[in-house]
Amino acid sequence: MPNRKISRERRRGEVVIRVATVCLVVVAASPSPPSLAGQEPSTVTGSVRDLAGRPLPGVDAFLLETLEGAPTDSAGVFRFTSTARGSATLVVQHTGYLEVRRILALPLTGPVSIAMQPAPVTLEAITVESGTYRLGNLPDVALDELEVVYTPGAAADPFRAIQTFPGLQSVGEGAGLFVRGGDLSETRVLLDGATVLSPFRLDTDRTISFGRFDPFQLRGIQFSAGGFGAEYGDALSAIADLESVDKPAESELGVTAAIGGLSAGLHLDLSESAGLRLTATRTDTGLLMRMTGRRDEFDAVPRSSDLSGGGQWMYRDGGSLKAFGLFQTDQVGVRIDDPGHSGIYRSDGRADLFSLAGLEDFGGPSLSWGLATSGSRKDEDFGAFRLEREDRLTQARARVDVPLGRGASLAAGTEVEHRTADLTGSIPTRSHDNAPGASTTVFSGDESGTRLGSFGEIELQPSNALRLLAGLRADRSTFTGRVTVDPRLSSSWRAAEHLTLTAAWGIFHQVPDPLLFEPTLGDPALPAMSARHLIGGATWEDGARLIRIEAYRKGYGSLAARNRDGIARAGGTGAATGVDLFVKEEFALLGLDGRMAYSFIRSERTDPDSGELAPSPFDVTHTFNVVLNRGFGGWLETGVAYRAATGVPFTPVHSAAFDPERDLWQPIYGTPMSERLPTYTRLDLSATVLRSLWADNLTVFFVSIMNSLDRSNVRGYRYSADYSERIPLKTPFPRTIYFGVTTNLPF
Amino acid sequence: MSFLQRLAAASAVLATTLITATPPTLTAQDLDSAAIAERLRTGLHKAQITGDGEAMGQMITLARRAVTAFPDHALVSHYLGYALYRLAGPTMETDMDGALAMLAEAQSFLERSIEIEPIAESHALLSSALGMQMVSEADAMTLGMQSGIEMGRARALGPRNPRVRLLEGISAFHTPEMWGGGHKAALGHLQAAIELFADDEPETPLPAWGHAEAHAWLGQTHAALGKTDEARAAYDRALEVAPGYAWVRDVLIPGLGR
Repeated sequence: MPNRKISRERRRGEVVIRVATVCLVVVAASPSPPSLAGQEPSTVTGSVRDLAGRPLPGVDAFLLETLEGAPTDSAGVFRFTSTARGSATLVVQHTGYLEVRRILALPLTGPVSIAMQPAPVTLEAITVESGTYRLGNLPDVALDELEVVYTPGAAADPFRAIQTFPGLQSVGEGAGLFVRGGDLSETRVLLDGATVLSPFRLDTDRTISFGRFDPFQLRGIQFSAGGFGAEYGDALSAIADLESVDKPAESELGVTAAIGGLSAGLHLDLSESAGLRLTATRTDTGLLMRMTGRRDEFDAVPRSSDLSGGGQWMYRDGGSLKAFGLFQTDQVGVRIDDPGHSGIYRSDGRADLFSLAGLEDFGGPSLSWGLATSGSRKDEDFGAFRLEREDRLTQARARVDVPLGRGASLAAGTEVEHRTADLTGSIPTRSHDNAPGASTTVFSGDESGTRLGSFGEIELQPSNALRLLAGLRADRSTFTGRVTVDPRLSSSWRAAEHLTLTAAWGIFHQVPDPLLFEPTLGDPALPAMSARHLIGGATWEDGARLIRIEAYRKGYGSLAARNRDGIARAGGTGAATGVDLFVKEEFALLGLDGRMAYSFIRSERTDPDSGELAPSPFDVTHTFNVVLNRGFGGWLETGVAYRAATGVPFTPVHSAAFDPERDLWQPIYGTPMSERLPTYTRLDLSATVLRSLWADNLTVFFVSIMNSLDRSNVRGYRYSADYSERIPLKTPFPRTIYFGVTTNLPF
Repeated sequence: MSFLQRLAAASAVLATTLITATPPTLTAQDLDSAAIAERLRTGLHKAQITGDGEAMGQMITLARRAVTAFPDHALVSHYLGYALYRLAGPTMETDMDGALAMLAEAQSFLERSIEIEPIAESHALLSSALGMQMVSEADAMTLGMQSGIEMGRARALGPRNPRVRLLEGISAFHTPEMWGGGHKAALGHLQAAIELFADDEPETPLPAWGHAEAHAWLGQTHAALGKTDEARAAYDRALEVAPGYAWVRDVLIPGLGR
């Protein structure tokens, strides 16, 4: 028995020892920190293969805690010694593969086996949107700011550079943006989110208008020819969203002297977080008109004065304020020979814009807001016609962006705009009878109203290959007294590495011009005009080449327009169908950068004079633009631009009846929009020489030959007194050489 | 309680104590990031002076590992950007695409370093890395402008920094005269850099590279201006500052006679 007892004790003891041993083993095997001191080095070894089991040479395997490591050999094996003990992180890195991290207990009891997974082809987040192009210093631009400047014939006007994109119809030679069959007023121009009431100067005639902004005032432009998001309201056709420049990177004085004007700009880099810009420009086309032999046509040649300034203050990381101000005046007096009256048409205009915009980024959600006021005044006078018009738009807006995670984000915003329009004047009762003393309608209107708009939009990017945008906006204007609701959808799908397919659909509303509500000549019961867009497209972009093709269908409703006697006509309808093609390519062999845009359109809308559906006045069936630039040695840039377009439609006068009472002929019009102007073509050349005359100086000498083939494009017709003879009105841009120099002086 | 029972109990207590007393697992932060940065500084200097491409490759590997361990350490990112910039230069002669990829990567690490803590050398190197990426005339306008802005920031942060002047000198050497560069302009920058190096004593592990290199570029500039004696003197001075400077000893001095 004692032996049994001893035996039991021994067994219990053996069990206890075993338990204790297990405990010690557990302790020894439990994770402990790597330790460098006083330890014999141990070998860390293993193999790295891809998912197919093939060995991967040249992979770096190392311990995160000590940075000890080694590359794999041709058999995919790594081996290095480490003094670390306990738990350590093995990091395995190789270009083109996802990093692998593995927790190891050191010293290793055997080799480690690692399988590496190829990294997905890194695709930038999708940014291609239906109908949208970006210009300037923005991500994914189609034209950078210098390409805007170098566009021959654009006279460094960003709007004229936009005209070289597809979807814009060539209507006259002004800077107006006539988009996909829409009128000029259907394109809303924004600066830092604020509506620019009068974006064109000298816009008394479509043929000579210019944009109010120069490319160096702008960081970039996002231009959408249709299908734009719910953020944008009160626009039927297009959006030109301009962003003013950020704070200057250096303090400098810039001066530009050209045959048409003089400009001086001051940039002040006040600190890392603040800076100011101030620019003054005086434009006078007197010398230019003398050179082209057209001085006699003007009583006062087109001239303008501009003063603009802006600043940015980044008061914290993610918080900034941006201010922009602009004041411009312009005058012109030009001789016009109409059958009813020959005399001087005079226009005296001025415009202003003041905008303050803020951004608060809270490291996820962000708030952007803006306050702005934009005004214009124009006095016009020609024979019996006299018009004094003053407009002002005061606006406030706010937008909140909230990332929802996993590629989803939400945006919502609201805007309120107060619009006033004062109109005083007299217009001939019968448009053909405009001589002084003719019967006129005298009016004095004062229209004002407020529009309140709100939107919500959700963006889903479940992968870098798919982007969906769904939005809804609602607007109420006191002009129409009604609420409009606009649902909008767009999608982009990267079907292949370089190929993106896009589609967009939406409903769009726009309040008619306030003066169309004026009771004497207008209709106070006008509803908001509407449009419905449907767009489908494909974009191929591989770095060297960008090809985009888009087809669209646009339907119009409740259009309001004035007829030739100035009377508002409501209830117009219309449609536009077309295809746009854009190709941009760098030709490595010839060192050329080129872009080509072609637009085809069929558009019609209610003719306000006859009430019939007719080709729209902007129905330019074919528009073709090609721009080629070639640089030489970084100091010389040359460019050539060619534009060809179908002539715009017009309503001809087919006969006339004599009015003995007024002793003049009264025109009798033919079928609405049944004839077209001749085909329009123009070739522009430009050359720019860049030099540095002193340290940090950039001096640019530029010369441009506009309409270098001296083509006499017809911009319209005037008639003889009895309407028996039709006389073409020729282009205001015969062959014209424009040259100048711009330089900067850093301080 | 028998001996064995006591042993077992003691073992259990010991085990429990050991387990509960185990400190949290150490992380990369237990490494001395400043010491790593210093190791990179000295290692890169040595690799550059000796012209040891393999050593330079090892330093880049170490810098990559260090950036993985210390993604928020400005100098570690700076040295990886610097190392890639260094390697891109000679790579350009044989593999332009590879060199441009290195420069783009250098740019990203220098930008990261500036984002964490800007120093004059990071801006100046970024300026040079941008300048070296200009391969077409279109690049010249956009990258040239950015490069100029970065050099302006470098000057503002380090008006008396010799490495900024050295990189300005190298940039001027490669820039046509009509763009404000040229050999005479380079000469002015390099001589100014050498004067500034006389009082240059950056604290470790801040960048300290460039002294011998300034003399080497001064020699090249003299040589380009046809001043062989001045060039030779500058090369000799480079070898005094950094004995065994392989580029000067094996390439520039032998090239003088040709």
